[in-house]
Amino acid sequence: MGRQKKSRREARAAEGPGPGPGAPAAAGEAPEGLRAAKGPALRFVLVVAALMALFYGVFYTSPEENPGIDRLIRAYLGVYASAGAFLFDLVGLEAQARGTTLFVDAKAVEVVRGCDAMEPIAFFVAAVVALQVPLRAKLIGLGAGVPLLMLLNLLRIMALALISARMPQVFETAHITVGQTVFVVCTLCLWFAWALRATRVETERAVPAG
Amino acid sequence: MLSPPARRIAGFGLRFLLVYGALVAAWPLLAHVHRPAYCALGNVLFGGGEASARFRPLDGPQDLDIEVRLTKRGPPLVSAVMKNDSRLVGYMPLISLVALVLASPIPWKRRRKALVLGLALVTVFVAVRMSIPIRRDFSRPDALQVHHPGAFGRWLLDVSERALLDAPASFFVVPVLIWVLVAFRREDWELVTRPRDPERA
Repeated sequence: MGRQKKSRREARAAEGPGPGPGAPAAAGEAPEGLRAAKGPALRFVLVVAALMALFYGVFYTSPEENPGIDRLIRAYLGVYASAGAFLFDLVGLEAQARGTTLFVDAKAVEVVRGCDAMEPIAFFVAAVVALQVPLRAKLIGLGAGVPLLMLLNLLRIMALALISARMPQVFETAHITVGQTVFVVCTLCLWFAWALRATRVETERAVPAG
Repeated sequence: MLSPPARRIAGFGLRFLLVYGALVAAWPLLAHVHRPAYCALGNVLFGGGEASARFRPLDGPQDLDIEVRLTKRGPPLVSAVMKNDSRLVGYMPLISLVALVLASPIPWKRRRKALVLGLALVTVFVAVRMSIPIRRDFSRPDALQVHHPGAFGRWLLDVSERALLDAPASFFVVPVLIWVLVAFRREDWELVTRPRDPERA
């Protein structure tokens, strides 16, 4: 029985992670137990889950109970609407912003809670914070990643405003299915790119020049 | 020209979009399988007790495609009806996980294992999402009220509904965490986070 277990473990180790983000598995015995097998991945999931729970607790506390947060979010959403109108004007499209509402071709799209991409951005922040790399790498990741995601979200809102004005029949699909998906995939890819870059920079700094 | 890691990331992103797009497009076909399974899960989990919920699929192409009959076993017996969108509540988290696992650059054998374990965990998440509106309706101060949550319980229910059910990306965050848990092994993780030889970087 013991031998069988051991050979199964050896077979698993020999199988390796395969192509892609899979280096050959460390030679020798595979670790036992969820904690040992998943190791840093489990720690990462727990830290991200805890940070997201904290975010949800603060962000989704109902506006009536927390008018301060609601005012802040409305101001933030208003910036998206104004920036969208400004960029539309730059490319010669008739657009206007009034509060959190963006008008394109006289059609209105209200930028509401949920259009703010706060959830994927919070997820990115949590994932950067949860990874065990030096503080400097985390600050670079947050400093570059968060504005990039906000810019990407602005483009998403502008695209949705255009779709609402010109192809209203596909708005729901573009809004829920396509827009959110592409945004979340971009968030994941951005995090992976940052993680790979952060560890590479760390090594390059450690190697003396010459 | 992209570096090998960047190519791998881009490849993962494209594969994910392809699988996810195909599964989203397949909803009209898969709905006939998904709706009965969704109702069966709901009936098993919430069909009994003092406060019960019976799920029934509705015919037609409408978004709210499931009827949920809530019953408070009296006396007096009180019942109410609400509707569910089984696509948003159940199908989307499911296909998010399936697409993430299938897009992962790991061997097929590991993908299969990750898929089985991941689907089990996502089903638990879907059950939690299904339970939120039921719990909410049985907690409202009306004739149907069965649960009497305190201030913290009400706040938790409210935040859970907004975060896990109403938020546009609510069907992604938990499946992504489940995917990390089931698809990543220690050595994969170290490959992403371990400092590499700069000569080869």
